This record gives sequence, C-alpha cells and structure tokens, in this order.
Amino acid sequence: MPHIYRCALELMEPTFFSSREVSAIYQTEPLIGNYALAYAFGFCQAPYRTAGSPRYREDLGGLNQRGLYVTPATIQGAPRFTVGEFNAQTDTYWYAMGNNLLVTRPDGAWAEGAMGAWYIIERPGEKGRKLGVENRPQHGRIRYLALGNVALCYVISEQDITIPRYIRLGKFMSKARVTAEPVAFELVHAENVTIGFLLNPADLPAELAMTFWDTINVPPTPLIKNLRCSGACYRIDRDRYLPARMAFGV
Amino acid sequence: MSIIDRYSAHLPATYSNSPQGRFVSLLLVRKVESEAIFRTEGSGEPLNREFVFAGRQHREGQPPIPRIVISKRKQTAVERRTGRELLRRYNLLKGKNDRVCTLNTNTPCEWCVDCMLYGYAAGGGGSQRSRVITDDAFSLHSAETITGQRQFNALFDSSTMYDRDTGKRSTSINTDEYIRPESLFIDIETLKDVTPDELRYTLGNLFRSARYGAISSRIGKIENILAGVVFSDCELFSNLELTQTVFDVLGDGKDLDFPLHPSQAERAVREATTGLLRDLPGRFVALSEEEVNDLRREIVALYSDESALESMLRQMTASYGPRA
Ligand SMILES: [Zn+2]
Repeated sequence: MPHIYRCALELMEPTFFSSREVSAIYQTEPLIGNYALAYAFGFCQAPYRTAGSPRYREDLGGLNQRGLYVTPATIQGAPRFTVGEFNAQTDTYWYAMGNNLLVTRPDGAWAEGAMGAWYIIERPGEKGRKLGVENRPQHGRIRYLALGNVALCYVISEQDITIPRYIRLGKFMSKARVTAEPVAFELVHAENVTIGFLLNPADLPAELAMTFWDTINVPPTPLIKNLRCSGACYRIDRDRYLPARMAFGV
Repeated sequence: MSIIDRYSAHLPATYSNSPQGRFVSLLLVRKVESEAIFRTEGSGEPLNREFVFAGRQHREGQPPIPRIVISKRKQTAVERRTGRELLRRYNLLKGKNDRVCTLNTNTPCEWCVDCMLYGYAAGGGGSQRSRVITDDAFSLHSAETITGQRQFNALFDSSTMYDRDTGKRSTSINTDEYIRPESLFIDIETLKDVTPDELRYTLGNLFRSARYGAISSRIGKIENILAGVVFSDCELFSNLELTQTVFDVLGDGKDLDFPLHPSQAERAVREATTGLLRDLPGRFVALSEEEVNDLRREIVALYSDESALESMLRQMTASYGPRA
C-alpha cells in the first residue's frame, strides 16, 4: 500500500500563476496545478537553462515510474487576492514604452516613434530600422493569490518520503510553508461518492466511472472539482475519498 | 584564509545547469536612510501593506497589524542593475544581433554574469531561471509607526506655484505616503547553487545598492546590513516568520520603540535565526557574527581592488562557456 500525505500549503507571499489573461490583466485562478507542485516539491527538477518547451513527459513520466503522485491543491475557504501593477523597466538612462515594446537605443543612435512604431536611426536622414514588438507583456496588472491563503493537496507515494518544509510557487517563486502529515486510509470500492477537492482529469485511471463534475479551464491542463464517481478509492479521514491509481497522464 | 574559501565546500565550484540544492541564505536588515516609497500602483496610491500578526507568539484574539512590504521584484531589479554597471564598464555584457544585453528587452546576451545568475527570458524561447531569489520584505514596525504623509507641489520654472506667462496656478498638488527614515525591513535573500565568485558578486551588489523604490533617483536610500549567512541543503524559513520572530525577540508583544538601532535588530535576527533553525529538517551551517563581519570586510576589500575585481569578473564570465 502506498503512503498518503496531506499537505497544507500556506502562502507566505502573494503568489502568481498566469492562468487567465484579459487584455493587460493577468489573473491567478484560486488553485495550484499539480504539475507545478511536482516541480515545487522537488520531486522532479527543471534545469536552470531551458530551450523553451516544458519537459512534462520526461519529468513527470519519471515520477510515474517511482510511484509518486501529487494532486492539484485546493484553496481552503474563500480565496483572497491581491492586485498589483507591473512595468518592465530597462537599465538604460533613456527608454520608451512602446506598444508591447520596451524601446532602448544603442549608443550613437537615435530612436524615433512614428505611427505607433519605433525606429532606430543610425545616420542622419535615414528612415531607420523598425523595432519589432515583444512577445511578452511590458506592463499590466496582476491578480495574485494573497498572502495567508491555505491550499490543500495530497501526495501519494510508494516509498516513504520526506516532504520539504518550504517550497517556491508561481512565476515569481513565492514562498509557501508546507505542513505535511501522513494520513491513515483504506482501499475501498466507492459507490457514487463526491470528491470535493480538485483533481486532474488527465491523471485519473480509465476504470473510474465518472458521473458528473465541474470543469475549470486553466493551463496547462484543465482541472475538475466535485467529481461524482464510483470505483477504487482510498478512503481517508472517514468520509473523504481519493481515487486510487492516479498517475500523471503525460 | 578568506571566509568564502573556508566555506567553499558548501558551494559548487563551477556553474551547473542542473540544480544541486545548495542554498546560501543572506539574512538582511534593510535600513531606510531617507524617505522611501514602495508601492505597486502609481503616484497618490498608498504604500504596499499586508495585515499580518505582529509576532508568532500572538495571543488569541489579538488583531493583526499592517506592515509595509518591499516587493521581491523591486529588490533584485535594483541589485542586478548595480552589478550590470560594473559588467558594462569592463565590457562584459555581450552583444547579440548588434544589440547589447539589456534588461527586460528581447536582447539578453544569455551569457553574461547577470544573465547567468539573475536569469532571463529570451524572445526566441530559451530562458535561464534566476539563482538569486528574494522574498517580499516586511517592515519590523507596524505601518502606522513608520509612515508619514507628504504634500508635494509641482513648481514652474520660476520656482513658484504660478506660471508667470499665463498667471495660472499649478494644479499638481498631491499627497504621498512615505516611509520614515530609520525604518527597518527584515529580509532573506536566497542564493541557489552559486559558485564562490557568484556569491562575492551578489554580496557586492547588495552592499553597493543604495536606492530602492519609486522615484529612486532622489529618495529611497537604503543601507543593506548583512546580519547573518546560512549555508544549507534546503530552503530556510520565510521572511514573514523571521520578521515576526524578530519582533518577539525584541518586544513583549507591544509595538517596538521607533527608531530602533539597527544593531538591536541585527542581534535579534541572529537570535531568531538560531531558534528557527532548530525546526529545520535539513543540514545547515550558520556563520558566526565575527565571520559575517569578516565576510563583509572581504567583499569591501575585493571591490576596492580594481584589478582583482576585474579579473574575478572576467574569470566568472569565461567559466560559463566558450562564447565568453
Ligand atoms: Zn547578459
């Protein structure tokens, strides 16, 4: 039988995941995805330098082989948010904020804006080299999960493991304190039970019979809540159920 | 023997792309020396604050207090600029497509000390994660104790509130909330898998950075005081817990005297750290007060020796690979 740990994550700083973007507002949904958690717990490690594409298949696939799984984390109670503004700033003395572009100019050159575009002019009289826009936001507003939110997730592991006391979450590596405790459970055949916390539908075993659920569309994979299902489950805390045999569906 | 050499067994000798879980935590008291403003919104908006418990040993029913927050991103932004000035002086910011490595634009060089240590995201898709991690820093005192209101007027060329040509009065009168001089912020800067030279460089940036926050060229002078250094194989406690524990060490549950001498806060940071480290599920070594002072002297000596500094920066740049 595996070991199951209940992990309470207490946010020690405002925490940001870009889960929804509406014009220049970047919003964090009140949840923490389980792929992010697998990295944050240090179960798998991303290299410092990457070529851009995520390595979920390699990294999370390795966890499946080790029989290690972590569920998404569900915020306890009503989630609270903090809103802030951000502005990309460069380290040059002169710069301009273009449309999705932070304009700087090389020494000895001049920058000029015309019709919403910016040009670098090296020699007097020339029209100049047009600067392209950048593919990441230069300014906007951010909705963070506020300090003090507590989220709950479960770690299921074939081996007895040590769970770190502190982890870093989100785009700005915000600190969270982890209180992990092993939970007693038994493997049962559950009939029409509702699972109140978040699950990753891609990670559920095929034999679990699912009746209905709420879908939450967030990157990188949608999550579900209030799943009504029948099948093999771990019964924890007397009246809580966790589907058995979950594994990263990468 | 230099302190960093003495503890070099706790640091990787060279940069590796794979995380090794070697942490250096720099415990800081950031002392505000002039008026300062930290906020995430524009002028006229209040300062960043969070309602949190004053100490960790809060009594049941005790209300939380507002603390002023210096956001984590405001901190590294300043410190990496300080370092980049130095790299630029020695021509160690590399070019790419004719454009020199510039912060926050699509032209990180991907190979200078700054890119390698503090990270970047390139337009083309590659990125380097930062190995210098800051946390939001909390004021030791409550926001009420350390903030004031200031009215500012925008003057015309004649240094008066009236425009001589039109006879109009300036309408730019506003109040700004500011942080009072002598306010103290408790902070941990976490370095992950840094080499001995990268540690020297980061400390140099910390000691040499002096202006933080809004309108940073005129106000926001801050002195960074290194109160402790811990080498460990896992993350330490959070800034909030450290600040709250320092509060407990210093007081008996009431708000603290203001101003408070920074040496009292430094001592309290060391005492709080010793206590909090008892709970740490990992291995760690903390420098003594004397060693922290020696370390500071070592960095000051390095930065006043131009040729030693330049050769360190060149070696560090070269160590990242053939492109340098
Ligand atoms: Zn660079």
